[in-house]
Amino acid sequence: MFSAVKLKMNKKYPRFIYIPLRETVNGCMRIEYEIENGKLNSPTVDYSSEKLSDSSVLILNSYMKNIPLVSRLSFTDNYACEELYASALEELMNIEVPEVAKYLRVMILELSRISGFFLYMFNVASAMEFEMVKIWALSDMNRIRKYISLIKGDEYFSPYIIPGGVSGGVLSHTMNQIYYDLEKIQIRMKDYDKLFFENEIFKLKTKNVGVISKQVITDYGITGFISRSANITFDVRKKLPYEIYHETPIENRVYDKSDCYSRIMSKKNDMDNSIRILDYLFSNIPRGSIFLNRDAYSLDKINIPEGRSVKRVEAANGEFICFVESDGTDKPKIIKFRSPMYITGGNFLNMILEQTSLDDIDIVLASLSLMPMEMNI
Amino acid sequence: MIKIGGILESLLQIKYITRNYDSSQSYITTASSKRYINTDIKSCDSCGLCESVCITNAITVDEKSVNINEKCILCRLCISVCPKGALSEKIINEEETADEKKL
Ligand code: SF4
Ligand code: SF4
Repeated sequence: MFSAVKLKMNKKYPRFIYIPLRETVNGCMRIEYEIENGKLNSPTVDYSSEKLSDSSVLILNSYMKNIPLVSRLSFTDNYACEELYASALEELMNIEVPEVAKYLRVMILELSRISGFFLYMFNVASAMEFEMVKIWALSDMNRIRKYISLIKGDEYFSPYIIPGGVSGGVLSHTMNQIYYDLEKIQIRMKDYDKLFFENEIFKLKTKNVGVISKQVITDYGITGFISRSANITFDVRKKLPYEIYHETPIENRVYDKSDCYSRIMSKKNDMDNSIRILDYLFSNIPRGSIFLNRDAYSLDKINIPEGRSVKRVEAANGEFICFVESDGTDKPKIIKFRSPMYITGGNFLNMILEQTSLDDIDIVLASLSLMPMEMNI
Repeated sequence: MIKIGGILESLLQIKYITRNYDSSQSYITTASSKRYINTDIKSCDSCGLCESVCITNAITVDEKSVNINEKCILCRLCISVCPKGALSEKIINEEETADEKKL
């Protein structure tokens, strides 16, 4: 029986290895495949070159010492990881977060979502060889990261969202500066529309390419902009609101079919929503100088009460989940993060690749916003 | 030594500007600055909280001093948690560093 299977496999075509461009996916991955009638046959995705299980180190350190490590778990969604960890600890410790801190948390989360959008634009434009859009996207991403540095007061991966609130307040003139510059970004989007989103070449290259049915998206539990491109309006910010998302405006668009075009437009809609949320924040943020509840950091709170906490946030690419279990000591008993990539990059990706021709592979990979580095954190 | 000048230099320093957006206006970065955590020992009450949160074990607190060694990764968590506001981030920019070198 075994030899028959082996014989059958040996009869197949040679297996090729495809390594996506570093600018198309964020991290290291390779795809092994055969070619049959111009389509990829039995593709297998391999992430063995990526560092896996980054979060396993977290059970070795105390909860407080883990805070800077959590900020380094993800490249694009580092603030989502911080939000998850901080809110899980706050639940276990029964700590309240000051009102201003909630607004500041949402501000940094949305700015990082916009920065993620420009990284996505960089990937998509690279895959389609839109060189100028690629360079614009990179410079705009850096611009947004500069705003984040202005809020945080530094340029490093230092934690901003920490248990009890945020690590620093924002001066009103910094806030004004970001507010006026975001208006410029909105005007800037007209350039992108003209050169990219309304460009017939872009439409020709993406429409009816990499179509994923609504049924498949529901079956695999895909979330975020990919599910919204199939008109599934699930958004953690609205379904299970955290911080101040119950009051912020979010609009959903209707798409024809979930192809590469709809996915890219859905990501753009996420970016428009982030601007709407930031607009709301700038006009409603309460005045106050208390942005951190210091009760979280007294020496008698080093041990976290026994319990479990599951937190979910809407990250740049979908639902990000964190599970923390405490046994009453100063170190977590279990801690695990599950990124949206864990679902998108598994069997789902193999299935999508099977229906993809070699010509379209780059744009299909880029449109899914793959983060191999977050496959298993 | 070959000196790059003229058109080539301006090409290398190309700025991406459109009518809608002037990307030449950017913020001053402090990447060239040197940073460290400064201790105001007068305010410190030696509670040891900063020592307990430091991931790199860069801080040692005793009754008379708070020492921060070169293992510090500038995560600034100690600044956030210090109940007395005794810790702060100090920046020495390049000019100051040059002056220091002169001294
Ligand atoms: S936390 Fe502040 S007060 Fe406590 S030992 Fe450290 S520097 Fe001193
Ligand atoms: S900034 Fe971070 S690494 Fe440096 S001393 Fe403070 S807690 Fe330790």
